Amino acid sequence: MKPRALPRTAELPPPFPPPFRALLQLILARSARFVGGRVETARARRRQLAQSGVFTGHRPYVTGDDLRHIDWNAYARHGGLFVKLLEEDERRATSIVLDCSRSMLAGSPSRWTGALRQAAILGGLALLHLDELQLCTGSAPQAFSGRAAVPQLLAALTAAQPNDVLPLPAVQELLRRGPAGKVLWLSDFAEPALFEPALLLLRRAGVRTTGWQPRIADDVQVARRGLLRLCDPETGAELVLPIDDELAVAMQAELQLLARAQEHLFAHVGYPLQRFTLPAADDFRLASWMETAWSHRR
Amino acid sequence: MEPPTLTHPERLWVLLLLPLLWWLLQPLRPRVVLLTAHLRQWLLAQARLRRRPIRRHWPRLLLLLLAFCAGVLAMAGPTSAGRTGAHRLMVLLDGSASMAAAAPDGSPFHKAVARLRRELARLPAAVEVQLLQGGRAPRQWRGRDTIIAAQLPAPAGTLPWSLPALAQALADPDTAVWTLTDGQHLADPPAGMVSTFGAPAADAAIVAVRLHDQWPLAQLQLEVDVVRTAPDGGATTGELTVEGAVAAVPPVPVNLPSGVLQTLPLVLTRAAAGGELRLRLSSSDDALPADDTFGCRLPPLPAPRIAVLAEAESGPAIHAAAAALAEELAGTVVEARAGEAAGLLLVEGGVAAVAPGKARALYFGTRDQNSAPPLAAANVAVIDWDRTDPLLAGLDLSELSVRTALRDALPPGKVLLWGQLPGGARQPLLVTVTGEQATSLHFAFRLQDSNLWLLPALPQLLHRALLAAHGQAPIRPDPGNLLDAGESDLRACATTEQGALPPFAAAGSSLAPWFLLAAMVALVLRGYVR
Repeated sequence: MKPRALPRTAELPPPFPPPFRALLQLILARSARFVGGRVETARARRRQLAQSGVFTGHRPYVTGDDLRHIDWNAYARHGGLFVKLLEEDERRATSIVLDCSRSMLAGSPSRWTGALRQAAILGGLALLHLDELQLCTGSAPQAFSGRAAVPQLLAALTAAQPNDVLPLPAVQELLRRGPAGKVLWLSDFAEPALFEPALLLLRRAGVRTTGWQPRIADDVQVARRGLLRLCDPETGAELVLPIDDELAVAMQAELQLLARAQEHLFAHVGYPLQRFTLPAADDFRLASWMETAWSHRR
Repeated sequence: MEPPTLTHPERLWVLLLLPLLWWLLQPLRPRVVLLTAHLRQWLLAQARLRRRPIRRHWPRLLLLLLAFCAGVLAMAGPTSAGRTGAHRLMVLLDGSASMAAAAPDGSPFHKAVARLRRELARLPAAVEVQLLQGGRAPRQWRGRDTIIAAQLPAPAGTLPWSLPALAQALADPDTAVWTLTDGQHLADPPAGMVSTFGAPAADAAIVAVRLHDQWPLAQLQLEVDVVRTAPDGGATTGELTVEGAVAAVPPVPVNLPSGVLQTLPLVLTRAAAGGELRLRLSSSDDALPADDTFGCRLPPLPAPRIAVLAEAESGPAIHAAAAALAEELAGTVVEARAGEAAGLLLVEGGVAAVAPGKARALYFGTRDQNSAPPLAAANVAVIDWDRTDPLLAGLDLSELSVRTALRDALPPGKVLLWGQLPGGARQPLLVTVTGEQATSLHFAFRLQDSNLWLLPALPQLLHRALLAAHGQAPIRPDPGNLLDAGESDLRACATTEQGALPPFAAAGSSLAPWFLLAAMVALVLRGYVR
């Protein structure tokens, strides 16, 4: 039996259809904050209070901005509320490391598509609230800055392709580029042992890291019975299995063991692991994404 | 080396099911393909349930097809090619008397049989073996084991066929011939393998005995032919002894040169009671005792009681003839009365109950009581008699004259004597009637009406009539106790070996168990290959 041809990203549904772009705008307009952004917010607040740095420009006022940062002179001239931007000595940055291994192609809806959409949301929020965003989808991280870079971020995510870059080389390249800020690592963590060296390296570098695991139904339960051909997109290996209830129960136990191993990995390095269940591929409701992925109130 | 052959090649048609089997054994193609990042977890789950996933479909399929093919080949009956060669062995065993020649280490026959059994035990079981043993009573055996276990009769008599000719006739590419003999009669080497046993030896033999019986007299003359053959050509002495139902005879010394046939005349007197007569030739260096004796059975000598029944007016001729015959045969003349046993009845004239062919009797001019009175003819001339009949052969009846004879009074029978009536008509004068138990002679005239009783032929005629009436008891020689002179010649005997048996065909062994084993091994391997 020939190994089944691995799926290509072109066969997957478009990651950012107009409904998602509208959803993204809605999320950014609500100025949600993702978990882990509080540190940067407090630090920024301290910097703002110090009034240090060089004026670099204005940005529109958004809900939550300190009223003391409003440029009242600009309001007097133009009638709109603008916040003064000062160039800081240490820029507030965040890095999104997107696992581009082929195992991300598994799942229905595809974990790859969900991860791209989640990276867009997280990146958009980072561009909205922080100074710089680094997107690492391979060996060369790409930097984005400002809310205006959201379309470029979406384009970069759309252009991302699965590759064979292992976690440790990707992290090494990220650290070599300079301060990475906070690292948001989107991955399935299917092989926890592969991620342990990279996480330990980030810990030694003092980089705060949060693991994000887009969860699909395949990670939780065995939904199908009967004769199945299982295909590993990572290796191309195939396995034909007659799946009965007994095997499904055993597989359920193995999935639980895997989840424990992933949690044990992040607990070992002291970083949090966030799991969110991906909505359906055509589900672009705000409630689905806000409630299942993160909450600005957390 | 020839390739194996198949006993049932038609069963290979089952191999046509291979494509169907291949199609049926194709692994099921699941319609649902699931991309998963947890293939390792699936394997671990199977291992948790002690299930081993099947990954090597092609090796498993090949092993199963191999087992199927091996099974089909086993059904087809594969056999190894075996060895080509003769399928049949014809053994010609000389069972003639010369094979029993005495030797310190056993007779040639015993050596030949021992050698035959040794060789047969080494023969492949598939070889068809037949044994022809020549001799007095040729016999045939079939089957190797039968021949090995058979009790072969002792050698006797002479060979009924020529060994070289028989071997030549039997030999063909499929038949090997093995001749076991003592070396006699092998002027032309027989085809195939020839094994001879024995050694040259001297032998004296009685090769022929001619008997001149004087029955019913007691005298018996014998001419005994003896011969001796010796490898060195020397002479020796022996003696011929006579034993049995004859008067005692001292042993006859015989000088026995080599290769010379001698005739020894013997005149013996038989015992009246009869019995066995045995001649034995003994010499100092005789190797073959079987040809040294001759035996025969002598019947008892007859002691006839001769009865005479004559009418009152008959002359003395009939009584004189009966008395002369009784004297010659040491018999007696008795009265012809009821209840009196008689070996021969002489009846002359009158009317009597004539029983042609039923009584040992001679009727001279006697008329049957149940027939009409015949006419009488005078001066009947004897014109001819049957000179070939044993009764009248060599007798001169030309002087016979018959004065009066009965006309047409003789019973039907073989006419031995013809007369001519004065009118010229032929008239039988003597008729013999042979019945199941006796022979009777019927004369048409009385002795006193002819000059027969004066002729010298009458005693001989009566003698012959008595023999014809009783039948001569033959001397029965012991069959087969006389051998050919060549059979007694042991000078050509030798122990030699000519030729060799060809390689025999060996049936190929069945390879089916090996194919079945291969099928089982393939199935077991398939169980381990996952």
